[in-house]
Amino acid sequence: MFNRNTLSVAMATLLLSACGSSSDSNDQAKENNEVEMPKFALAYKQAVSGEAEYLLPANDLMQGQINANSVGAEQLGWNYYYPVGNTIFVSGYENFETVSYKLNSDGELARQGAFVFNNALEVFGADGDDYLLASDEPRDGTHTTRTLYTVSAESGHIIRQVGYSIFDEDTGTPGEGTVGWATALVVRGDELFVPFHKLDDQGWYTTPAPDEALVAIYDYPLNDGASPKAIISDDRTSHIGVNGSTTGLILTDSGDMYSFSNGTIAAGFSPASTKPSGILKIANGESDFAQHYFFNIEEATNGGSIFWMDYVGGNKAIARLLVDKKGEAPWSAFGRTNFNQKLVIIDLAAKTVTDVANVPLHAKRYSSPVEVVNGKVYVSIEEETQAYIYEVDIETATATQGAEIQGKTVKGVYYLAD
Amino acid sequence: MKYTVRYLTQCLGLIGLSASLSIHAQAQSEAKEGAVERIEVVGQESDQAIRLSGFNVDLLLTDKYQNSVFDLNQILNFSPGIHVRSNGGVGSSSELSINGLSGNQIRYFFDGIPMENFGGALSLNNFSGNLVEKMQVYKGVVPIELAADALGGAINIITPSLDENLLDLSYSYGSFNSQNLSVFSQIAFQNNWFVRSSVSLNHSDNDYEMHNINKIENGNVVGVQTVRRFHDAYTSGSINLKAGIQGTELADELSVGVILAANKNEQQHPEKSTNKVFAGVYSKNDSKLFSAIYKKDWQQFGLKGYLLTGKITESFYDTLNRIYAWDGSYTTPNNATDGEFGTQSIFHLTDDILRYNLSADYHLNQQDTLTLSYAHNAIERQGYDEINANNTSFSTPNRLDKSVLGFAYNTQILNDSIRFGVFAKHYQMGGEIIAEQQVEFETVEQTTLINFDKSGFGATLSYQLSDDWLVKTSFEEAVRLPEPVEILGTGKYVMPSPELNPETSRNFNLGSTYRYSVENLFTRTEVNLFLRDTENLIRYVPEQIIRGRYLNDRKVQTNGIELAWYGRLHDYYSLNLNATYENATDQSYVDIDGFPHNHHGDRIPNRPYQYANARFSLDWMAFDIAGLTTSWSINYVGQFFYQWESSGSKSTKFQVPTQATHDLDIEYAFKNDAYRVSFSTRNIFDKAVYDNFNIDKPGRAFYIKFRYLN
Repeated sequence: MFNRNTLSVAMATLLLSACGSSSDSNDQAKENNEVEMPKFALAYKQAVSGEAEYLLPANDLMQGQINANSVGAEQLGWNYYYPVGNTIFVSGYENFETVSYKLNSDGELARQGAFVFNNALEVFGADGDDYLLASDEPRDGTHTTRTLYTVSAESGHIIRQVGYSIFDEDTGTPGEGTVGWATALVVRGDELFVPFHKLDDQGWYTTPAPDEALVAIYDYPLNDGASPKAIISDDRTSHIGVNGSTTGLILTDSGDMYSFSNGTIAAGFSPASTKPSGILKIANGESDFAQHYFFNIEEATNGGSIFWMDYVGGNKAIARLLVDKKGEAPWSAFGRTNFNQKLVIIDLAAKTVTDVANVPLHAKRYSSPVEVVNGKVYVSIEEETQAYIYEVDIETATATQGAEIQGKTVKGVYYLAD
Repeated sequence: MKYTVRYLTQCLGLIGLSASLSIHAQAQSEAKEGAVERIEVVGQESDQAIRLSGFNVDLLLTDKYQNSVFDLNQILNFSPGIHVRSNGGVGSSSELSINGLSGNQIRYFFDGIPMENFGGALSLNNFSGNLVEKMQVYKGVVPIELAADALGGAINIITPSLDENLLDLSYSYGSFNSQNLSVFSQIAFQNNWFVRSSVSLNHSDNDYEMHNINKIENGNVVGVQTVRRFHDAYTSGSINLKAGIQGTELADELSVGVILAANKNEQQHPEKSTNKVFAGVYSKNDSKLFSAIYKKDWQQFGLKGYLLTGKITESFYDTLNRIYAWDGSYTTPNNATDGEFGTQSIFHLTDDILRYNLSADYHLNQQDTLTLSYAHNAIERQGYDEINANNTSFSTPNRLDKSVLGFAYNTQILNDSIRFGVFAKHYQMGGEIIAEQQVEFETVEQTTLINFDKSGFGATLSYQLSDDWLVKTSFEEAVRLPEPVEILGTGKYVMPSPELNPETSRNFNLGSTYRYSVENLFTRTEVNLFLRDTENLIRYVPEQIIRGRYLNDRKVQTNGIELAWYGRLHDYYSLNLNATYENATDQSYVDIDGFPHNHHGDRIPNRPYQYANARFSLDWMAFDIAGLTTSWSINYVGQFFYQWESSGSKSTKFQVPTQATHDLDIEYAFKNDAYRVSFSTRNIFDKAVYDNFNIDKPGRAFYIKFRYLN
């Protein structure tokens, strides 16, 4: 179908050009040999029945409006977006397909390659700037083997596919055991770190024993049928990461890894953990949690809990805290009834939390990994009836309101010019 | 899976029985001219009354299609304002729309008995037509006698009159190993008893070609290819028996009936994707229905009632531990418990239904009539998975009751040239939701009681300006109550939504019919304008990652025009033309989450909005060849986008292109028209055709059909 469309549009374009009726500014630019290359791509979602998604090219994120009026690569259904180098992978539920996009010489985000999968891919990671890692999850709670895909960012094609296991506690009676649900895939050297939740094995998405942080460690690359060479645990906080987020564990430039744990019912824990929301560290070269390090976020922020965190360079992370318990209900942080997320910069080494100035409390369900551009990151801030891009200066922890998002959200901002 | 259709062959014995029933020949009434004329000049008194009423109603007499291979959906598709979209070949899911409203917004009736939730084997594309004499299609405004929550219209399938002796046998064979056998027989005894039996068997391999399918190597998309479907066979069968008395002092009809139907429907791929290929996924339907009907019209007073009860089971099978490719090869997945679609499953969903209706007419005098109608519709749904213990959908039965009370007053004035009617309907719904709910970390059984009511009303007006010119208009504030799954959920991933409001629509029609005849030429021109103002449309909204619920979403306004022209020359040449344009726009200002709606006023995507048909028939008597008729049909559907038209760069937009297909039917009747043979070609030019983005429908196909009618 895609090819059919491409063909018919190509023909239509030919006809138009032949008639000399095209006065598109792009064409003008092409004639003058000065194709304007967009600096950014945005994973944009409309606020409308059907909530269609578009991968948009963009240059200026600081003014005007963001919408898909006649621009953007159309997507099907709900998708994850994951950048690897300058390639953006789009993986959804509707067509059992992951498509990669790259900027072509005409300054358009063009479809590069595609692969199909059997079960929806729901957790992603990267091996440098060259490879995407992607895995399925035990969606209905049954005890099954996971599949890990290694995909070339150059071609968008699978280069390696292995079965592996994370964690299974199976009594034979659904509901009595648990299954492992991955919340990040992080490669460090010749090891893969996979933090996970223990979910009930009847598909109710409950967390029967949430009071420990868990990471499965594998020799990387994985062999087919791999199982963890170790599972490390720590009872100072709860399971690492939250459902749908792919950055439960982040790797810093210095090789240290930091994880965040939430543990509240608003983030999908049921029952809630009795442990505080906090950050654990796996130091460079180590394969266990650093015993001397724990950043108790709940204590440091007067009851806040981390709902999302991503790495922004140095020893810093950007994060969203759930700051108001009022109206908290199961999974409420994923919905849009509570606007209680606060944007903060966390200094992981110094254990400090700084509120990002000029950003309102907001709601945000899913964020694809951020990219740092000249000391700044761009995030989508969604309030009750409006949404804007904010430019966050990491050093000063201040933000500037940028372009208005005429839609529901921007799931990710990707810098294409590096 | 909503409208999937399945069938099973289990009734060969009964065909013999039906065929051996002795038949008393009945004089051929409108043998030849009827073939083209009956659809226009409706003979029966009741039909005439309906046609002259203010309702925007089409009466489709099926007899001119019965000699060739058409199912009821295809016949309906020839009508202005009606468009049927299907997802593939015989037995595939399909959706019919009337003036822009579709799916469960349209209600179906079988001799006035509601067919909703009847199961796949009894949906419209299973009916071959022999059993059906005509169809009444009410657009937007529905009389209270068809007591149901029809938001956008209703289709009533009418079977032949009970006082005739009939035998109708037909068999067809065609491309993709498609076969249909149909036997209809009816005996009206001297003593006013009657027996009717109808048996139908249907099969198709549906192994047609698919174009532009992803070519996949080691999981990677490396190109496109043309493939042939290999796991899409459909088989269905039904037996419909009815016996009783007719035309007596006591009753115009007093009868009991049994309908048994079954099917098996293989599924080649998921509904919206061809990237996954199945070789073992299928569904089965098994329906057993029992009905009793009473009708009596005294001079001043008429009474009608029915009772229907039955059990409908839909079963879904996904048991192969394999991953298939389009070339039929397979690999074994990592998990022994994986099926092709999800975790291996044999899931049975059983509905127990009970419906009854009582309606009474009282004629105050020649002109004025009062009608009162009450209908009740109860359903209990239970699900059970034989092998996947984690599938607990509907494991606790859910119950839902709907009732509709209607009242109507109709009058005729000015020598019956003006007909006016008003009606009101009161809808009541009650139910008990017992669902396993996850509260904190405990699985508990929660019972939720729902109880609400809603009223609607409407009016019809027609004015006969002259013998040849009729103007009519109608209005209804129509209501659709939530379906069981929408309000009750499935007990697992679809959560109950007790706060759900009914969908409502203000429907307005204005139409005119003009007939013009001169010498050997007869023409009829029809124009209808329609307006649908629809609110609280129900939509599934994901809420808790993988769980979600049905919520009231947007507001849509549809306005449109249908044009139809029919002309007949010398009784030999006839031409039917019709065209529909509908403009459905989103009228929401905010989206479901409170953001400003990006596309206020824009055309609703993924919906055909311009379509047309033409059919030219020639009776070769014009050249002194008796019994031979040929018809050429053209079906046109304009291009439409899958998502909002103005969004995205044109080169990446998903769309269904403009399509025009041509069909040819050649029929030959002999021995006083008792024997008929037809040869049909569908999609003569073998165009790639789609109703739904990305999913091919069959290309060119040939059929031959034999029919004996007595």
